[in-house]
Formats: sequence, structure tokens, C-alpha cells
Amino acid sequence: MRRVLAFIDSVSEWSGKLVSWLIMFIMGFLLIEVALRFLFNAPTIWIHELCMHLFGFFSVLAGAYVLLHKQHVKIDIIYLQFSPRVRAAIDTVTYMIFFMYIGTMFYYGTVLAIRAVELNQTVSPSPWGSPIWPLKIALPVAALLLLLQGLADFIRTVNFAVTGKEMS
Amino acid sequence: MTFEWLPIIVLVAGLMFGLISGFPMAFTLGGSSIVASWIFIGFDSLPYVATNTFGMMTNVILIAMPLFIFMACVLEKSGVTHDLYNFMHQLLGSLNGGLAMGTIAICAIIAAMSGVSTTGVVTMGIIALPIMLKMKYDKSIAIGPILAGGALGLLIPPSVSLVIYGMIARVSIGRLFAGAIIPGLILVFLYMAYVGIRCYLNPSLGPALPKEDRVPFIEKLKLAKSLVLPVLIIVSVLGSIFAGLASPTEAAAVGAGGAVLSAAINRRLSWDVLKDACFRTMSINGMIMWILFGAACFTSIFFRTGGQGLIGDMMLGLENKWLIFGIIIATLIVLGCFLDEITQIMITVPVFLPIIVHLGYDPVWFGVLFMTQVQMDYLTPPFGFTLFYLKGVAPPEVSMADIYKSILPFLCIQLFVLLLILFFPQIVLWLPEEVFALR
Amino acid sequence: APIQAKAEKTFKWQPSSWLSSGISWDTINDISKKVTEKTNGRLTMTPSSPGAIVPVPEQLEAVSMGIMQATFIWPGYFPGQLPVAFMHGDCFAAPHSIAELRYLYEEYEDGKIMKILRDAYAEHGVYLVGNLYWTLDNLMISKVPINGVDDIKGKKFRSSELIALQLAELGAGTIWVPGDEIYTMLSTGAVDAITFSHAADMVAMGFHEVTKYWIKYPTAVGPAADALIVNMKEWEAMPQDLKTILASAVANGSYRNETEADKEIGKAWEFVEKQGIEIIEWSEEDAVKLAGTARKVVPEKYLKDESFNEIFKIVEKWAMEMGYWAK
Ligand code: NA
Ligand code: NA
Repeated sequence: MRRVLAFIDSVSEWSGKLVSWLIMFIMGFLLIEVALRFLFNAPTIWIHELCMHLFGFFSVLAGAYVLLHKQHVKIDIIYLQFSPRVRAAIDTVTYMIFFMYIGTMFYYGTVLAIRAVELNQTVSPSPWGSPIWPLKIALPVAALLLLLQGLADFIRTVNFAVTGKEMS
Repeated sequence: MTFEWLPIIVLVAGLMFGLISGFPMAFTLGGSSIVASWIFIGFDSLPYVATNTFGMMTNVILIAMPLFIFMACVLEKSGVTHDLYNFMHQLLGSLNGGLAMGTIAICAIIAAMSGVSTTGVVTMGIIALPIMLKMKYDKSIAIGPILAGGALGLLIPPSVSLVIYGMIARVSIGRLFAGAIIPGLILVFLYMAYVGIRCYLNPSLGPALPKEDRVPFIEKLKLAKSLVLPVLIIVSVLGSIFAGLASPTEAAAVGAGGAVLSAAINRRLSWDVLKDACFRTMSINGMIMWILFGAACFTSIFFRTGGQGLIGDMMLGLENKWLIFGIIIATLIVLGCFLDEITQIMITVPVFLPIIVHLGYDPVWFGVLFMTQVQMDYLTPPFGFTLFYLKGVAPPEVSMADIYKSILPFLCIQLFVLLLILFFPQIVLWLPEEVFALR
Repeated sequence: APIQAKAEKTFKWQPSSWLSSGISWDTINDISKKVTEKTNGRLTMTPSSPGAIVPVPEQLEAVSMGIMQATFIWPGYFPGQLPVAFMHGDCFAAPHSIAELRYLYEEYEDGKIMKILRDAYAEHGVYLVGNLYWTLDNLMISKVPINGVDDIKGKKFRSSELIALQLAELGAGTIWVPGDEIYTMLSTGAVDAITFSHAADMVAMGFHEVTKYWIKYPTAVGPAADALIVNMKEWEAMPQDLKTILASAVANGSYRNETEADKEIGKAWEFVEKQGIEIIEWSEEDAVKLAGTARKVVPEKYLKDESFNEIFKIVEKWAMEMGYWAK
């Protein structure tokens, strides 16, 4: 079990770290656009649209990493008053809502992604008209990664609530 | 209570549940919206969870945000901002609270560099907060100015929110920009004055540099070279916007590029610095975006279940202008708990504006009043997106309670300026009249 | 008594639009009010702000999937999902007036274009109730004089859709930035010129304060069509009388658009003239050159779509008959 949990953790870790490099590409491409426009008077029709794609991946695929590192902000004023075990018990309940929300996102995200592939959808309105399926697939993929990480955290939480001991 | 209110009550109950249970805000917003749609609409409506999240993922106006975060991370990791604050501390020498006042000034400059309000708070939360805490500033004097100053991005042009208001209200965007400048500067001045007076009365809140650490004048001059890089970045970002080289989004990339270059000039650009900056930017941006994904779902269901109609109904048939302004302000405070700023403008302006125009008020004036109010909404506890974002970037010793406490005096200042604008419309209208009378 | 049950069913829609103010938005409010009244509340339409329920670029999907029952669209937002939408909104900028656009869509060759459009939307799970014609008059306004096709070369334009491709064909550098950044870019000179909307919209947002030259003829796009679309299942569940009321409300709304636009846009031109804006009209020869590029730049990928291609050929035939496109 521990090895499975550790594997899930590392998937979240690496998916986040992998997309994190996209910010350098977003920066680089936008700088190229500015340079092309002003040095060569040759703006592109594709850079801004490409950056939209990159920003989408960058944002949505970070979800699991943020969950792994417990960076999703919570209002903890009341929560922190409880003992760690009571907190774990509360988390067990709230994780149900998490699974419901992200599960819904995964299911309908998949429906949208299949439509995008089947209909060969492209970005619109846009002069470039790049395919939109990569972005549409990113949403259910991100939701799936979050579900996995959520499951790993959930198992740890339940274990702690029941036994009072941390799983490593 | 009629049936019409039930969906709203369920949604608010969902938020309250999040408040008590410590469930992350992102999932509280999303989860509440799904429960509400099950109860009031049924399963058919649920695909909106995917379409609306997708809409937020592809919202290009937000691209500037991670670029500014990246800029801040690189500047922080490469020591550029540390040097800057060191210099500020030496320069201001005996002035208590000087760093917090300097922070407010930098916030105002960032507000002029960016069109989205989030950037200021997050950027300064990364750069200034750890340094001020290290320099023994009290949490409340360190956090408050970042929150209040950061939110100025909404008011100080260029402001995406004002542009959207202009498009919906059909008023000159140039006049709105001009109208927002003086209220923005008044706020900056009052924030600084407040910090100055508090720290003058109680130096332990924002201690000046101890006498033994102060360096002679010549040494200060040497330290002044730490100004060069930050000033260069500011000039290149503002310059690229105002010289017409770049759009505000592209200017954010210029800022990020400038930060990388500065780190290189400082000889502190390493693979590790870049790597850490990328990771941290991804993490902070992801935290913010997932809150916005939740908000996108929440908004949808709020309007599906008749939220907009309720706001309109409340205003119906009212003639007393103070009652009307009271309801407008109260409505905005409530909506500010769970709508992102752009949606809030899109939704409420079409409802409020006809009433305002009917009463004979200037829509430019109302736009600036509106933005002053909206920047407050994201800072009012318990639900304020800006408060959450700062929590997300702040060092772990900063609790949500610290953040709530620190913002209260600044909210009072904002309320005061709001009333000032309400009673003296010329504060807003004077500058646009001067600028555009020339044509 | 299933028939009785069907007659008593009520429909509650919250249609949205892509604009939240101005002439077309007022028309949507007007249509919604009249439909609600005329059907005695059996069909209640409460307009919702753009993006309040579903973001504008996702609204075709939303109606198709039943998240929204109905909405008003500008088809130009959806060519990526439905290729015919690329022409549906402005018909390759070929017609010169609303009357021509309406005739071409609904009467030319027995209204074949409208039939093809309806079939294409139906395949997407959406019923196309009807078009709302209006004056888009997507003007070119600029900081530097543009007196003809030759002046376009080398200028930086913020523009979108078909006209962006046309301008690029004529040698302009076209930049796509979000609408929210146009004013800032124009005021700082980051772009020389834009195409955005009609004169009344441009004046309302204060674009006359940051430009000097407005081209009155030719308009970059001219007349355009919005449309009311309804989820197919919802449409099929509706009794005939509601369908009829809805279709006639859309037709009436279309006329309202036209008269209001004439009034507002006329006032706007008078206003900018007083403001010292230089109003430019091109020669007929240059106008034809600009229009001619539209047909050349239609992306290949849309022409591969059968329905799109069929419509393109009909429009081509009509435009050549009219002398708007060269043979
Ligand atoms: Na700003
Ligand atoms: Na709030």
C-alpha cells in the first residue's frame, strides 16, 4: 500500500514539475512576438493563441501538485482549534465532496474531450485555428491526477483518524 | 423567506461549511455548486462543471498573472529584492514603518504595470512579506499594506476591470482611467499616512534600523546601486506599455524577462534559481486558478437559480438614493464573497447602471465608485479571494486570522474614500474633464 | 392524456448573448419580454449576462449538451466547432445591406443557405430558430490616415476573424489581443488601427479620443447576423404555437435591430464629425479590392466541410451576379 501511495505522490510531483517549465515558454514566446512586431514589423497570428494553450496546461495540470503539497488555501481559523485526529475525521467527510466535484469534472471533461476529438474542433474565433483537443484532454487528465492524489491523501487521512498514527 | 431565496441559502450554507470544516476554498466553491445544482436543477445541467472550468482555463486575460508571479519569484530568489529592501531600510534610517510605506509605493507602481488586481498582492506577498517579517515588522503592519496596496491594480490604470466596465456601461475608457487616478492616489497617501502614524506611536510595529546597523552616507550611496535593476525592470515594463511596444499581457512577459536578466547581472542566475522559480510559479498559479475554477462553477449555478433577478427585484421601485447606494454597496460586498471581479462587473453593472443614470449620476463617476467598492469586496473577511491568495504565498507562520486582523484598518480607509467619492464626485470627475477638455 | 400534459408544460429559459449592452442586447431584452407576454408565461425568457451561466465561447456546446436550453449567439465565435459558423455571422462580408443579407440567406435559391445552416446546426444537436440581422459595420479606425488599399500595407492592426485574414493578405501586420486590451494598445500606439464594431459602439467606449481617422466606406464587414439557437430536445418538446411565437419574435427583433442601429449609428457619425475626426471614404475601386480578398482568404479547412463549401458556392454565384466579386 505504501508503495502505491508513494507512486501516486511522485506522479503528482512530476506532473506539476513538468508543466512548470511552460511559464518560461510563455514568457519567451511573448517576448519573441514583441520583438517580431517591433524590430521586423512582422507580428504572428499564432503566438498569442499558443500562449493560451500553454497557460491552460500550466494552470489545470498544476492541481495535483498543489494538492500533494497542501497548497490549496483553506480558512483554518476554526479547523485549527480541533485536535489532529478530529481534523482527520472532518477531512474524511469533506473528501467525499472533493471526490464528487472532481469526479464530475473528470466525467464531463472526458465527454467534452471526446467531442473535441470526434468533431476535430479548433480554437475559435481565431485566424490560426489550432486544434483544441489537447487542451480539452488536459482537463480530464488533470481531474484524474487530482482524483488519484485525493485518493492517496484520503487513505492516509482515514488511517490517521482510525489509528492516530501517520502513515509514512 | 420565499422559495426564490432557497438556492442562495444553500449556496451560502456551502460556503459556511467550508469556513467551519477547513475544506479548501477551491473545492468548497465547486462542491457547493454541484450540491445546489442537484437540488434545484438536476443532473442535466452538470456538464457546466467542465465547460466553465474550460472557459477559465482559456481566459487569456489571466496570462499576465503567472508572468508577474514568475518575475517576483526570480527577483526574490536572486536576491535582487533583498538588496532593494536593504537599501530602503538604510535610506529611511530612523523612520519607523518605512519599509511598509515603501511597499505601498511599490504596490502602486505594480498596479500601474498590470491590469489585473491579483498580481500586486501575490507579487508583493512573495517579495516584500518575508523581508518585512525578517526585519521584525509586526505581522499586521507587514500584511495589511500588501493586501490593500496590491488591490490598487483594479483602480490604477491600466485596469482590465475598468475596461470591461467601460464596454458594458458604454462610457469612455480613457475617462474612466483618468477618473480613477486621483482616488487611487488618495488611497496610496492614506495607507502610507496610517502606517506612518501607527509606527510613530508604536515603533515596535515597524522598527527602524537599529542605530548600530546604520551605515555612513558614502556606504548608502554604494548600496544605491541595488536600485538600478528594479528600476530598470519597472521602466522597461511601464515603458513598453506607454511607448506602445507591448500590450499589458506582453509587458508582463517583459517584466519576467527583465527579472531573469537582472538575476544574471547580479550573478545569481543559476539553474536552481530558475527551476525553483518555475516550480513556485506553477504552484501559486495553480492554487489561484483552481479557486477560479471553483468560482466559475459557483457563479454559473448562482445565476441559473435566479441570482441576477433577485438583485434586480431588490432595487425595483426604490426612489431614495441613499437606500439605493446602500443596497448597491451591500450587494457588492455579498457578491464579492464568491464571484471573481470580472464576473461581478459583468453581472451587476447592467442591473445597477440604468438606476444610476436614471437618478442623474455620471456613469464615469459610478464606475470609479464601483471599482473602489469592488477592491474592498475581495478584502473583506471571511470570504475574500485576495485574502486567500496572500495566504497561499505567505510564509507558514502567517495564519488566516493574522490576515483577517491586518486588513481591518485598511478596509476602514477604503470605506472612508468610498464615502468621499460618494459625497464629492469632483474627486473623480475633475481630472477627466481637465484631460479631455483639451480636445 | 399525454397531449394535455404537453400543452401545459412550461419552459423557462435564461438565454444569454455575447454582448451585455448596446442595441442587440436591448433587442434581446425586448424579444424576451414579448415572448414571455405573448405565451402567457408558458415560455419565460429571462436574459442572463454574457458568461454568467456559461462562458461565451462554450455556449454552442452548452446548448447542444442541454446546459443552456437556448441562447443568442454571434456565430463567428464557433467555427472551430461548426465550420458553417465561419460564414454564418457575416457571409464573407459580401452583402452590402441588411436587406441583401436577408434575401441571400432566406430567399435566394429558395432559401437554400438557411436550410443548409439549419441542417448543420441540427447535426450538432441544436435548432437554429432564426437570424437576427443587424449592422455590424466593423469599422476601420486609425491613428494614421488610411485612404485606400495601398495604405494598409505595413500598418499594425488589431483585428479578428475574416477581416484579420483580409488585412494580412493586403500586407498589414494583424495582431490578436483580447478585446480588453484594445483601448490601452490604441492609446499608446501599440497598434495603428483596429476593426472592432460600429460607430455607435466606438463612440460609447471613447475610441474617438484615441484615434484621428475613421473610415466610413467601405466598412470592413458590413451587415451581420446573430442567431437564436435552441437545444434540439427542448425544441422538439415545444408545442407548435410556441415555436411560431418564437420565430416571429426573432423576425420582429431583427427589424428592431435595424431601425435602432440606423438611428444610433447616424447620431454617432454626426458626433465624431463635430469632434474633429477625419472621416474617410475610399474609392469604389479600392472598396472592391478589399471585398475581393475575403473570398481568397477563406481557410482551406472550412472549404473541406461539405455544407460550408455548398454555401460558399451559392454566395459566390450571387456575389458574381451582383458584381461584388470578380468572375
Ligand atoms: Na492596474
Ligand atoms: Na468578501
